[in-house]
Amino acid sequence: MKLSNPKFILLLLIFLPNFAYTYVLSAGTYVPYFNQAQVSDSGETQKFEINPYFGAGTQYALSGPHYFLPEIGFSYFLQNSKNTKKDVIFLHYNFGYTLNSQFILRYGLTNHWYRLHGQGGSVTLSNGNGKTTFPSPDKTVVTYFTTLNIGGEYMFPSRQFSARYDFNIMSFQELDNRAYNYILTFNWYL
Amino acid sequence: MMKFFIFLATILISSNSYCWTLNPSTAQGFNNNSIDIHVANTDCSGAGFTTAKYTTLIRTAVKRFWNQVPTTSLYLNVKGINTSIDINGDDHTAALLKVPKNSILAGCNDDADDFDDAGILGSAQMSCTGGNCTAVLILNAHANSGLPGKSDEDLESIIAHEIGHAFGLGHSEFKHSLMYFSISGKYQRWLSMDDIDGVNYLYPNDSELDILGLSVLGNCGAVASAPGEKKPTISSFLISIFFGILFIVFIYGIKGLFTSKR
Repeated sequence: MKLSNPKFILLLLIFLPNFAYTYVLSAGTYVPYFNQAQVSDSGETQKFEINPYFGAGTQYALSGPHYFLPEIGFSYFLQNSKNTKKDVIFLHYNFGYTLNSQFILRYGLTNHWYRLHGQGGSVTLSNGNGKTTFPSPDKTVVTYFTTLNIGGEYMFPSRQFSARYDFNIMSFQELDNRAYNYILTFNWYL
Repeated sequence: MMKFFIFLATILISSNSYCWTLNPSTAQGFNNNSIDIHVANTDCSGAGFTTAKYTTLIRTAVKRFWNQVPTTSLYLNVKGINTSIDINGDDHTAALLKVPKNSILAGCNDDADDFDDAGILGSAQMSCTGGNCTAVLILNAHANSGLPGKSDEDLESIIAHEIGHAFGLGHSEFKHSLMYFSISGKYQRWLSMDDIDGVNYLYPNDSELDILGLSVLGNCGAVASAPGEKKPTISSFLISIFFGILFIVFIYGIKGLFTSKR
């Protein structure tokens, strides 16, 4: 099997837990296009949105304070419309560096499978001085992209729960069209 | 507590409006991800600007809006004024015949039959035959045009809206979206998620993941540098290095796990 095959990555994530010393379940919200998607007529941008995110990952000890933190995640959008649904599948390849007993610095990459599910049909909408019937999307389309991640995790004193913030930089090699997502989660270490 | 769960269930299944739609003429996008925009040799004085200014407005509009979306493979390449294409006096249908293959032609029109309402600031028409799509973007340069006096930012928004039609989008029901039918009563600074999803749908980054082949992850937000071609970029190089390091730490980590305490 080629390393280029996504199945290899999935197998890697399935295989890794055999060596991990702990598992983690996450729930939170995913906010795409932070501060760059218009949400109001006056030009305000998206700062926070509730798009439920669920993740399952492992904490895989490397050496010293370093960890490998692979995670698979899923998020769906609450503000779906009548003619389109959308969701995102994530494969996170993050590393962690334990700053102290409470804070973990996180960094790495994430593959995003951003899926748009067209429901078909048509919609009649205003068109200048009249009405026009516009076709709605009618198929499922997936757009793939990779982000560079920087984040942090705060461990609660019980050390069984934590809060986490992962900031995703899209198009991180381009200055002109860079954009950002973030994922805010509450995590339960099993 | 019950009220909370009812509220939660309501927002989880909420779905009350229609989002972005497709251009009714074609219901599809171009077959190429890199689309050239030519500016025709045309008289835009009725719209309040010169052809050179029109070209600058298109460049800025493209940069402000559609080329800002890193999750799509679409790249709009403004070629500038093409003096060999003259569409003065042409209606949309006649102008469409003069558009180079797989590209968009921008111009102005002062024909009262095409723009009989001052409220119509511009329009776009798209046509696809076989694997070839073309489109025209025409602004209202008739004496009754509502364009003169508009700010450059509004003109860019209007042009970006028409470009959206030209590459395959229809209107949106959301007023804050660029693809809403009217610009009046709002300030269009950014694309909305609705616009972004529309362009993602028509022009997705849809190649297979090919980590070692340097072909796909390089498109993660990168724009193609040649028509229809996706070249490896620095991101694909960095990602390949990342996976190389990942592989090394993976091997190293397995070794470490067997030798360290749990």
